Amino acid sequence: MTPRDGFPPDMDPFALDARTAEGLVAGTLVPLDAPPEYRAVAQTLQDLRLPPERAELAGGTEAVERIAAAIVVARRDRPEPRQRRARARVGKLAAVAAAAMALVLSGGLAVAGALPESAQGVASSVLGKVGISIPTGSTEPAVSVPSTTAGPPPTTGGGQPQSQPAANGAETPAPGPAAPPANGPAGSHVGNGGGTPPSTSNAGGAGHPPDGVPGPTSGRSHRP
Amino acid sequence: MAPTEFGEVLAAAQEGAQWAIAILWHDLHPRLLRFLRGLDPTAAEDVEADTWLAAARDIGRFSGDDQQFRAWMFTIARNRLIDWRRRESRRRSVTVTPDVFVDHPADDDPAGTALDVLRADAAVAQVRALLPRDQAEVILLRVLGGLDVTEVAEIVGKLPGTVRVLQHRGLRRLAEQLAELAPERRGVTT
Repeated sequence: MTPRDGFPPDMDPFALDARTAEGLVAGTLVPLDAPPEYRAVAQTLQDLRLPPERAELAGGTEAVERIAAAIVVARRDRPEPRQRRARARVGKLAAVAAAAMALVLSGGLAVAGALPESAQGVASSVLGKVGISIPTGSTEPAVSVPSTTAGPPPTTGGGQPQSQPAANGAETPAPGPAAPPANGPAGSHVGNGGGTPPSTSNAGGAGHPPDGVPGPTSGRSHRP
Repeated sequence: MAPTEFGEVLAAAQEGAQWAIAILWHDLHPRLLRFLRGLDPTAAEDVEADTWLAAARDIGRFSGDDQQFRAWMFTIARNRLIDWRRRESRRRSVTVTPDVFVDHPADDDPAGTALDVLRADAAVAQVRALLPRDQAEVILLRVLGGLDVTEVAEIVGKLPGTVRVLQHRGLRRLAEQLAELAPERRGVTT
């Protein structure tokens, strides 16, 4: 620090209190009102706030045009919030519709007894518990499945005897858990199965082409 | 700018209206340019242009008043400058730590050159030359951005108390340096 004339040696001429500091940076303390040691600072900070010179605003028109063009491009690339909400709503509706379709289709197939054997057994077992009687899918006893779980059907259906009389379209891959459970969280599983059938179920369905009718994916059959 | 007036200008600017963008640009361009020149005069022009283009991409998502908009713009400018410095440091392949710049102001002579340049530019040059970078940044953000301590603290990623300390040290250092450079400036009148 440079010793200043007129100040006692133990006194700091550049002492700065918080109020003065705030006045300097906020521009409320003009140079004349500033402490003598801070008048130059007040002047410098005041100069920083001077209105722009013409040279500083040169090229403004082009700059504004560039910015406007960039905003328009950004707006075009980004959908409006309303559009985003509408798209999300359509997506949800499509998912619900797909789940409902799958449910109806698998239910219909179950009632017609046209599901793959293992799935038919599961459907029969589950719906039987709520008093709905549908074909079991084979002469053998229906597969016993705990009512609280609607897990994927066993994939060993490819080895079962083909006693299931499949109607046209029976080769259509059906979702695994074919019928809706009476209650419980497995309902969501049905929905999932309807939207994206598990591969195991598809494999089972493909492994059961109707008699005399080659399966659409007969090469995928697991039968020996 | 009145709040409602700013809201209308912002809404129009978000639609791409040139009259509204021109208002924002005329208000903020000189401040941003001076701020960037105070930190890095070689990059100021390019970084400032980048700042507006980056703001144009995201202005549709901005909501707030004019003070918040200013803080937002200065945040973008600062981030763009940091990016620019990273790119430059890689290009030059000379590694220096940030400590190199602390407490070692530039060795140019702002008092001598200030006579021939505009007063605002001279003031920017003085702040840049006489203060360490972190102190200069805080003072420039407060003065040019019109931002309070809390807003500056958010922008520079420091605690408000730290910003107050940097501001205090910067003002004191500036006073000491100006007194040494030009004793005759003491007691300057407007």
